[in-house]
Amino acid sequence: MKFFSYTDPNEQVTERVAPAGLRPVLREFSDEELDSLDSFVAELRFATGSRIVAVGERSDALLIIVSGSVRITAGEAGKGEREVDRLREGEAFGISSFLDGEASAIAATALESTQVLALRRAAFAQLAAWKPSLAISLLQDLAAYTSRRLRQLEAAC
Amino acid sequence: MSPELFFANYTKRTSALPKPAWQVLRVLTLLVTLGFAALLTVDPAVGLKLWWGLAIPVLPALLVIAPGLWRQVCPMAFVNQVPRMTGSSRNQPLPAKWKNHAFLVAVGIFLACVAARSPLLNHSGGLVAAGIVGVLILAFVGGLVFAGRSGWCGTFCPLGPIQRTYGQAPLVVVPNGYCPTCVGCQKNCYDFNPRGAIFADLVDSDARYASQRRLFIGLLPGLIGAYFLQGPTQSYGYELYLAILLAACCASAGLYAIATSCFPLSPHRVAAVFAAVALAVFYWFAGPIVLGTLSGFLSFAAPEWLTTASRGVGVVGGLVLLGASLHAEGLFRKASAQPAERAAEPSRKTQMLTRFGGKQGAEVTDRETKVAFPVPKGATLLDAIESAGLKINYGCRAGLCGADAVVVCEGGKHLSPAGDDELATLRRLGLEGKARLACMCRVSGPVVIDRDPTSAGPEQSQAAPAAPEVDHAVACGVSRVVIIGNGIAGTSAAEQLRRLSASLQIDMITSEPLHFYNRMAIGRLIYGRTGMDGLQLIPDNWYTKNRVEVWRNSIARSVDRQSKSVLLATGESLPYDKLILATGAHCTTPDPDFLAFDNAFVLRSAEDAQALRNYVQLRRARRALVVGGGVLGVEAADALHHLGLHVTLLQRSDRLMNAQLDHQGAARLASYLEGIGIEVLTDVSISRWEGQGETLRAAWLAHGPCARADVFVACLGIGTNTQLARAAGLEVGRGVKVDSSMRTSDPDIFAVGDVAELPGAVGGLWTVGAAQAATAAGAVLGQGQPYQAPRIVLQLKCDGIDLRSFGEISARPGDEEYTAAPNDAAWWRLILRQGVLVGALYVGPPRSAKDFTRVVQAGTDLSPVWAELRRGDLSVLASLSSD
Repeated sequence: MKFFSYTDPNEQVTERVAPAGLRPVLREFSDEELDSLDSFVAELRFATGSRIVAVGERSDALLIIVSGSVRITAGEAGKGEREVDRLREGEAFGISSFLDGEASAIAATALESTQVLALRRAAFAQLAAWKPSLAISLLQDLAAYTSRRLRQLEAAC
Repeated sequence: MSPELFFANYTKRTSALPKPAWQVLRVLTLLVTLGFAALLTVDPAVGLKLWWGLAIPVLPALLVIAPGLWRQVCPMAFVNQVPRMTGSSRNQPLPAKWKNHAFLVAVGIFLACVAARSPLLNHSGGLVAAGIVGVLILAFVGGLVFAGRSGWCGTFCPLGPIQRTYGQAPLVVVPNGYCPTCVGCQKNCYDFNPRGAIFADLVDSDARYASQRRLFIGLLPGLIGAYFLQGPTQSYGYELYLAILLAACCASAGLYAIATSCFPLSPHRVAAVFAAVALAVFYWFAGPIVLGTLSGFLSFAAPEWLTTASRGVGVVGGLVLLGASLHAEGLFRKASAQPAERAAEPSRKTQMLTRFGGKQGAEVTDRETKVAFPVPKGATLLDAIESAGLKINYGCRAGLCGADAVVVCEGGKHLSPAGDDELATLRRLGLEGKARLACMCRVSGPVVIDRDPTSAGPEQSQAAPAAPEVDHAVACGVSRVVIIGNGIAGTSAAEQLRRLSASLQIDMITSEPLHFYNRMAIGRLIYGRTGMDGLQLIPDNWYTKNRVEVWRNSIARSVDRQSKSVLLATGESLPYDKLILATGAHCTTPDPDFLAFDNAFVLRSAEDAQALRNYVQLRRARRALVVGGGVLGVEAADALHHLGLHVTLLQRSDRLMNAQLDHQGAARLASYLEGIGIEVLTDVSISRWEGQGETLRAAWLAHGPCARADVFVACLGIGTNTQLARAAGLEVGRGVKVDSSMRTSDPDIFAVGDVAELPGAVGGLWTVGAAQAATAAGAVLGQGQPYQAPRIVLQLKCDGIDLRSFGEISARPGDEEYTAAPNDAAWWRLILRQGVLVGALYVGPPRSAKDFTRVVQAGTDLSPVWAELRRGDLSVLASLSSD
């Protein structure tokens, strides 16, 4: 009985949270837009257990999971490192560093063979130069995703 | 009506009234309700008549016709949603236990109210008033605490079950106006999809959830019938009254169970029949009550036929409800029978995975980072490494400079074989057999690489001396060659000479403090943090191993052609049999005193780049003015932009790179540069420089305005370093004039690279310098072939744009040319003369020119794809083999 698209009450969210839940980044992009984006992103695959981003690493790339899953941790490895999130296909991380260019405050580790798209700040500027509308769409998508994450965090606090 | 429209949820419907109008109606309804409460308290007789005789009996009809209207204006819903609308709700999710029991609570309250009517509520206005106020308070508290409509409307409201029963197939859908966004606060929300809720309810995967809803619908006709049949008051005591109510409910629910369990009837169809019967029974009794109330208040005597007709209202209403329900069921079945269409909707979830599946090419794994990345078809290993965002040096991209050497740890058989140029370069680097030049590799299978060529091990890092089978120097009586200059031309000359002769004494004089390095990558010295790391293109021991005597930091003062010797500024004299001039070129400046200013720079050497970077950091420069919009100027502007400066690029011509690009290509380039924040000014010249002490402040433009900056970089082209040749009496024009063997006017002196002037030859490029050096080395030892210009496809070294230029940029009469469509993101032009490609240029987004580059570099026959090219379709180049 799947005809009615009711929101799943088992994943109930609060009023502050957007209705679509954590809709993945780039999900609404057309094939043509994804093709255009291809010139500006790097496709990377990390083996199980690989460290994708380390705490303090100066990587300004936005990382979007194409397949696999990633464990997000805070704190330095071996010194009170604690898991703060697990992300799956379509979700993004490295957002803060991508936005402000500062060192990463989190670490990301591939929980399985994981493929990600990496979009660096410089590449984003290039994207904006070649495809301004696509850059705006991407930024809006990322902003909406970030907003949903923040709301989720607020709700959890 | 299509099922999609019929069952559209509230987010896909528009309200007939604007929000303010609904708010007004809600307030009015609330006031009326509170007025009822007041009336029930003040004048219970009138209040009770109006309440039970008019207000309550009218409600079921409204719920059949337009339940959404009631849910929009319901006073309980309004007070429940006030906290949400004012942002004062705590928005807590309803606990799971409460969720599970909420419907039973609502049904319990409803049953209690019905049961209490006869003994209490039909006679006590105060109690009814208290009940009204009480539920309003409960609804408000529910909204204050719980999210969405889960605090009352969709859960505990005693009217909820009856609304879902009578309103299971609304004739008119009035969309939910309280939830700007659905927060998923409850299961099978009626407000979300009023026409779909009944289907979701009755066949819910939770058997208990569905049974509760079925039970209520089943017992409703019995409850209503038993209540009305017993009349407003009873003489046989409340116990029996309640027992009769209970028995009737059980009997009715039992009938429902029998109907669904003994006959092949769908639960929904049975529910529709029971709802219709309940409605008919209700109005059979309530119709005359309403009529009586109206006639009482309006002071008229209702005729008997009207009373009978009022009883029939319920029958008609029941039939309407039944018909609407069956119609909805038909549409629901129709929709449910289209699983393929439904499945298509979420398919985009995997669109990104499909698009970026990494299956477009072979995969390369970087040993250091353990990152794997695909190599798209047609791309080189260097392209793929750059696309993956991994650091790697690069230079000529032609296998000559050796900047991009990578160690192949595994899968070497999956790389295209190395050519002569690459092998020679690897030999120079001491990496033959172990490393490859990434720019020359195409990948056909899994490969593991290490971007650090020193990881090949110390044995491989040792440059092996060349050992020719025949010593050509001995054969031609040449024993000593002096080379002035250690750039690509000078170093290549030394390398070629040693390859041809083991006995030859080779002296190399250079004023540069550094060994041969990747001059093409000095832009990265400006914005990168790695300094000279990776820029050295020759091992320190190469000169020793190849027995090349290097006179570093030494200036060749003069050439004595009579004694055939070179006099150094240190006073030493180096005799030669043959002399090769590879003195290169220098940057020209806009003003003879330009470089006297401390913030004025040119970009020719690694020292220039480092000095510029140091100045920017020490003086905290923010603005840069680059003078000259040629290849060097654009690359310098891009490098300074990478460093974080606000850059203005001045070009005297009407377009950037006017020697390499047509107007459309230059426009694309300018648009891109401006897009990333570099200001481009064309058709401008500088009338004067404004300085303050040792520092330049501004450049005044000929047409009036002035361009202020903190650093000034001149990229106006190069001038050849011909002083030595001129002083030696060699024939000099723009450069040192040479013949096709690179021989100057003195047969024992050769000139190669930037300093040489060969009629019709393009200069200033690495591949040209290397080719000329090979020609000269052969000629020196009597093995020479006339110089043949290499096929040069210029590639701009800016990572946000693919810019290629080859040969001519405009067609002559009779030429055939193909171009991109004017509005395409990338601009390209191909010029063919008698079927031969004589000109090609491309300006487009990064990574988009790999097929273009491959085809143009290889000189591939384009005739098979002329038709596609004529249509402006460049993607067809992917189908062409470069072999």
